[in-house]
Amino acid sequence: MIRAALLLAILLGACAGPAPAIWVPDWSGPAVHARHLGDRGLEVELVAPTGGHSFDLCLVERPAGAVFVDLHFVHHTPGDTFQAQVVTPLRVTVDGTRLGDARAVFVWIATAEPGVEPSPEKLAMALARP
Amino acid sequence: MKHSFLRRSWLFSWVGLLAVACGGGGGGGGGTATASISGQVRLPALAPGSFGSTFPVMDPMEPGEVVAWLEPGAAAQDLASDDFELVRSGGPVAVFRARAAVGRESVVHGAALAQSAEFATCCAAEQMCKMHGVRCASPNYMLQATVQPNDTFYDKQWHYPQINLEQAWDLTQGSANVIVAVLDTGIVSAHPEFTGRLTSDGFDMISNPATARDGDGRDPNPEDNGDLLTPQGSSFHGTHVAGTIGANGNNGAGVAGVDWNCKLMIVRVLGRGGGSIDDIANGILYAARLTNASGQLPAQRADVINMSLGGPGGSTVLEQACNTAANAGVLIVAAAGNDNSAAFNSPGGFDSVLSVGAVDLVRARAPYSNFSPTVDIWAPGGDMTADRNGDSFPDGVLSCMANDQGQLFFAFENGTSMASPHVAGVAALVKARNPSLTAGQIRTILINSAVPVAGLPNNGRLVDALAAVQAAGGGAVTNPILVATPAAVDFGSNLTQLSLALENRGTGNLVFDSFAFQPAAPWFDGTLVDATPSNGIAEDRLDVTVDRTGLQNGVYQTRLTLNYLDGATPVSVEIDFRLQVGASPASNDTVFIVLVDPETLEARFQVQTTAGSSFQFAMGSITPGTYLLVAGTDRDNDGFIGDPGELFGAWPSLDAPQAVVIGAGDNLSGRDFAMEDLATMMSVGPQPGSRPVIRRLL
Repeated sequence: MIRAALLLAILLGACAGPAPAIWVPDWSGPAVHARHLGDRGLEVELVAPTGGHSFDLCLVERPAGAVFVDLHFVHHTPGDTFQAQVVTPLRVTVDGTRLGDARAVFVWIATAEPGVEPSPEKLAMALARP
Repeated sequence: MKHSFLRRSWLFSWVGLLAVACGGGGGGGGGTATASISGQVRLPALAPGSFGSTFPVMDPMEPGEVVAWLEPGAAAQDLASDDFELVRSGGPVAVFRARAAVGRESVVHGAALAQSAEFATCCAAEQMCKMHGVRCASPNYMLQATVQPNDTFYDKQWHYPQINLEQAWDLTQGSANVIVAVLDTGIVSAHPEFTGRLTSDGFDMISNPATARDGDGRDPNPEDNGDLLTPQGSSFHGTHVAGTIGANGNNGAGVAGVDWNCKLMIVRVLGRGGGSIDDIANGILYAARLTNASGQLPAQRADVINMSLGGPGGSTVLEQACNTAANAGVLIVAAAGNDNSAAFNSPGGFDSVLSVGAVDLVRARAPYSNFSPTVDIWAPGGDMTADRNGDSFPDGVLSCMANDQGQLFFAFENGTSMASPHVAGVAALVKARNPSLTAGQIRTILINSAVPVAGLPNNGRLVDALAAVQAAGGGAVTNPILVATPAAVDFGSNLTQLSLALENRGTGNLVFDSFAFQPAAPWFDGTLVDATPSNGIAEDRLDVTVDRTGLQNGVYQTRLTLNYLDGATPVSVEIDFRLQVGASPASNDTVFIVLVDPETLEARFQVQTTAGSSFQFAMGSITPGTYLLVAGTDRDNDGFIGDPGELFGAWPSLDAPQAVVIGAGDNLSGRDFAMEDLATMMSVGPQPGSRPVIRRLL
């Protein structure tokens, strides 16, 4: 993951427009996977350990002139409620049109406990787009 | 870009093949509306080939004996000849001794297969099949006494042999007098696996109509209205859990449950968003037939409560409910939790609750399972990120399932939610075996009879259904019961030596006779260590080593049959072995599904899938046109799929790929196809140059 982020940063640094700093993924929550879709969209999956979690896309953000797009997710945990103890993949599909012609995608996730402000976002992954 | 010339030659030859098959159609043309396609790719099954006889050479048999069914009017003595000596006959069945097998050694005593008594017996049986007056014949195989249910998908329920459930079923398959309460999301009662198994006094204890999604609060209907757990739909978690405890077994369809006869009392306490302490505590009291907020009581209290649920921290109210129910005589079993943590989890962490952790297919702690010292016992919960038995399915627990559209089916799930019902089901078997046992006694039996497994946290023990049922007493065992521990062996990609402990948990004096692999597995070697050869099976051990030299990358599987004799009575046990050479194709690989232009083999659309998605794929927003559908791995990450040493496949098959014509608005499903290991194909295939390599989308 770290290598992916560094490579991506190098890639972006060679392009016109603003480039991000060399970010290193620091997400330490449940496993997150992503796959590119046929419409050049993206499916992002958070593997929740139990029921009661939710995973929502809050914002798709692309700075003017940037070759990358930031996806901002919130992972809502169930807090102190009682839940089925079954591993539960939570998938969110981002339509290709929302990603435009961006060459890279950064997936940011904030964690929100019930009734509490979400924690600062963490970088879960950095992806080059097909 | 290594091997570029080779790639180019493959590409051209495959394009030529496809141009004929497709009439030279091109991808990417057609209308403006987009389409979709979906399906599933299968991993290669690399079972080694069987020996060259129509009869299995290595199945346990009476060496030299051929059993025949005679045509009406045929006399057994007339068939005796220089080749066949009549041993005995009665009615249409006659047993002959094949003289060709006389004097030959068994393979387990060192004979080469082609010179073995077993092979000569199989050849003789084939010869006898062709004889006038013989309707059919076969080697005189020795069959197993162990119960193996005939449910359609039982062979995918690896989690039952892991806990010696088949041998336990020899002793009891449960009793309708035992009630297991399932406190969960309710149930889809229409599922045929529950026919005749539900008590009539199940209850919906969810007080909040928004959580219950059935328009009211507490009511006597525990039907699962769905919890909308994910954007893709509801979990129907309770149906899966109940199926593991008590799906109808040996009924020729679907799956088997741990207990085939117990009654299931469904108490609905989880709904949309989970469950409250109030509802769960009252559900516990209801199942125990104790005064509760609903004002209702079941006709008879449950013997066992299963709670595949949990939450962090302790709740004195919930603990009080558990303690009260336990004091009333109910055994409470609960999931240890899925936080991969040693933190306290309730209700599993309460002293009055039997807390169950989860193991994977090889009896290691599942990566999500909690492991605090309050975990009392371990059971199979699965790990769906792996396919360590190479059956092309993720290593989850298979049980009943439904969806929000009302469809009924079966699905793999993983979690301590899946481990807990295994223990609850075994508890029901113990109670069935000896109804006089109290909940406390059953708890003690389950823990004390569980088998220690190296590597489990806190000297953890895996539930052992056979040992538990035997410890229950309730009737003398009159037959020998041969048990191997572990019941399945996975050498993975690194191990070279493992040992099996062998014991007789029944009566009699078992003496080792032979062992055999089927299919033949020359890469395995076994040595029986008989510590007390004059004293039966006591302290026997089988040391097995593997030699991967010369094996292609892939997964190899075989079944070891150990044959003992109790006097003249054969007693056998089967152990599945798995060996991996090279990297795991299942646990690590990303599989790229690509629609390619059939003329240029250029990738047009692509998605990825993994074991976590059961290698299913769905590709949307496809431009109508004609394509080839291929899948493959890119283990060397060079941007090409289909390199030597990688997996590759094409729809409908790699040998005869066909064009997929996708029209505007089409939604094509069921495009399932298999992948093959190109390393294997290249070494044995007649025309390796005809294989393509596809550049995937980066």
